[in-house]
Amino acid sequence: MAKILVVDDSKFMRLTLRNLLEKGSKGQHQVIGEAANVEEAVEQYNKLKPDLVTMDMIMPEAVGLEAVKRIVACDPSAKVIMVSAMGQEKIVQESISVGAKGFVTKPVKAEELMKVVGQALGMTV
Amino acid sequence: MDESDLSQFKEVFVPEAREYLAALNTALVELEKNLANKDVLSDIFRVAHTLKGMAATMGFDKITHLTHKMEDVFDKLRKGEASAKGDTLDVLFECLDALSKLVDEIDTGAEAKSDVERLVARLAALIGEEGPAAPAAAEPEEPGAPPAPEEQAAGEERAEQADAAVQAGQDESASPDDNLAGSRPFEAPGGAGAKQDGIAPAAAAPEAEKKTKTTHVRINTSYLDVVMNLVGELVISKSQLEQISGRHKIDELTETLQEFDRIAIDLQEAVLKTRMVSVSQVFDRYPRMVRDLARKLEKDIEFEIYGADIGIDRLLLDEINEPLVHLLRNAIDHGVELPAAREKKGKLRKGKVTLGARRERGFILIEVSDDGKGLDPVLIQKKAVSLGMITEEQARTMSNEDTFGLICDSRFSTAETITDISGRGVGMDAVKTMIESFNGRLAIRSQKGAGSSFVLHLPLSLAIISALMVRVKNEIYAIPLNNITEIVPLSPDSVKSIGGNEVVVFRDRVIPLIRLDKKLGANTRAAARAESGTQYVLVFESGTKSAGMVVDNFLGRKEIVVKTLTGIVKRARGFSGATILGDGSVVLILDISLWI
Repeated sequence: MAKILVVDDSKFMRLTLRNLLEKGSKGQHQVIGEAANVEEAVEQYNKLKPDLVTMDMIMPEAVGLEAVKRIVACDPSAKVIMVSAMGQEKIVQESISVGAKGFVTKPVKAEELMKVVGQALGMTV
Repeated sequence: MDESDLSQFKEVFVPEAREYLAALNTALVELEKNLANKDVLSDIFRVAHTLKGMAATMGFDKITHLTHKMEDVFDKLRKGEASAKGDTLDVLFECLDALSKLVDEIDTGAEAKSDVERLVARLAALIGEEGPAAPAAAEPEEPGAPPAPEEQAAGEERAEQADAAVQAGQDESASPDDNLAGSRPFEAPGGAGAKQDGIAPAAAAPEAEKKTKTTHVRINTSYLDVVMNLVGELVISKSQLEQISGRHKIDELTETLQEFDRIAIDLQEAVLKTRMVSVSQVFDRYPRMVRDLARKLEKDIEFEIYGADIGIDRLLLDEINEPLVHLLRNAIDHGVELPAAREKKGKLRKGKVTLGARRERGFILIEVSDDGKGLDPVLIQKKAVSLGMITEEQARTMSNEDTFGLICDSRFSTAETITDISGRGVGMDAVKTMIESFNGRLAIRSQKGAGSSFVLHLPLSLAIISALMVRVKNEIYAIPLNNITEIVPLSPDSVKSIGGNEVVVFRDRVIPLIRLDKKLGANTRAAARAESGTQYVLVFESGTKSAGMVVDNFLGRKEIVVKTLTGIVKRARGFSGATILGDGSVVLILDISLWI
């Protein structure tokens, strides 16, 4: 059972991810919070101490990259996975170099998401 | 995802997608003013990107495909690898139109028949890509990036999802909002309905203490209506308690009731606030419209909006769109002159149209103004006389404001030829009727040659109104306060008869008298007692028409909760609803426009 924080500026995407994460894991994972921008993400992270964060790439105030940096700075053991659209491989690489633990591409598929989440959490799939 | 999930996702998808499209429209208009504005370009790029991600997730391939290509264009523009040419924005605007059509199709569950390939090819041409031949373009991915096998599989799966989505859409369209509105009201925390708002509780709860960001919850407006109705009931039962308390005179009870009264008022205000949405929700639609129309009419117009964050009752918001569209069109079409004509008059070539909102006491004022040619009172009067609307006599004594009011008369505004003379006219009667239908008022100010201003005075809420309670014989009626222009005592000898109808001379004008008791055949048993005291005339005005209503007494001003008439009284003409008084009696609310 993992507690997850979902970060995305689109409410629709947050709903989708919540659904995929909770239903896809048959209730194993629980989304305990959502954030729509970097500030919220960092704040929510520090407050909720989730086991895992899914992070969108582009958000209003800054790119998701900055959020990853700031979260990892607060908690070096933070597990963040990037959710990105196709064609952003470069930023994905960069995010991994600053501490992201994996990535999935939109449109997000349940199976792929579960695999990446599982890997990031260090669980065997 | 099963189907119920899909339709539930669609409920979030459609409004959010529309929000993004509105934002894109506004941003593109902004970009058009300054093609080199990198900030706007970045914003546009981001919004288009988010929209693409959403659409891809839902499997809406056409939206994904088109936004993907738009994103390419924005990216190139942003990086300076392509420059916006004259028609670049035209194509982009067309794309937004196509997207909004696609979203509509998703919303209604209609078959997605819009074609995006032509637009995709035009977008490709803009950034110097060889527009792929139409059939080949059906492949959603970039030519440069051949899809990996899994991605192809994903593509198929997406197609399936899309099918399911369309199906879910059709299922739902069979019973549009029924689920929410009727059969399962108020299931919100916990029940089946909770999923919908699922985001809210989880996201809001941990954020309880921090208040740096406002969090929002989308709720069905029917829930708000229920809450509003309950508050109304509370207000009624409060006045019942007050009456009881008045009989027994217990100090403690009186004090408690005062406290109760204060809370009830606060609650009423708080609930009214929850129904408020910012006018920007409609205002955001207009920059694009103004731009398109100005271009079409070859006018150079600067469009300014102020007060877009003013809150307005959700119900009113839907109502004001049409009148505003009309007023804006008129301002552009008939108000602002062509650049050359403006120059000749010594004005700036660029005309200005302003749309603004502000609050003033119990009203919300929405103003559409322009610095165009303005209204000519002399010409309007001349035309009105020739149409037999007023006599030359009346014309001489008429104020400018009354004169401008004439253009809202149906006889005036249907006369086509007037349009050019007045600078206004067509459909103004419809505008006025619409505004009055929700208890609003339209005020017109204008200076010949300098411009016009149309101000909508709107009530803060449709659910609770200020009314004057009057007694006619032994019946009590409620009359919305903003309908009443004046109250005068009735001297019996001022009543004259013209053609068998009673009239009264009021401020040098002859206005018809309405006697409710005669029109409605009121109960006359107790009528005798009314005959003794002075009677009063309430003067109403609607357009050029005015009338006076005879009442026997006033019972004071009251905030009343409007209840709609249902059942057999639903079609009772002349009433806009009813309200319940503290003693439990039902009082009808007069719809003045139907009595004049």
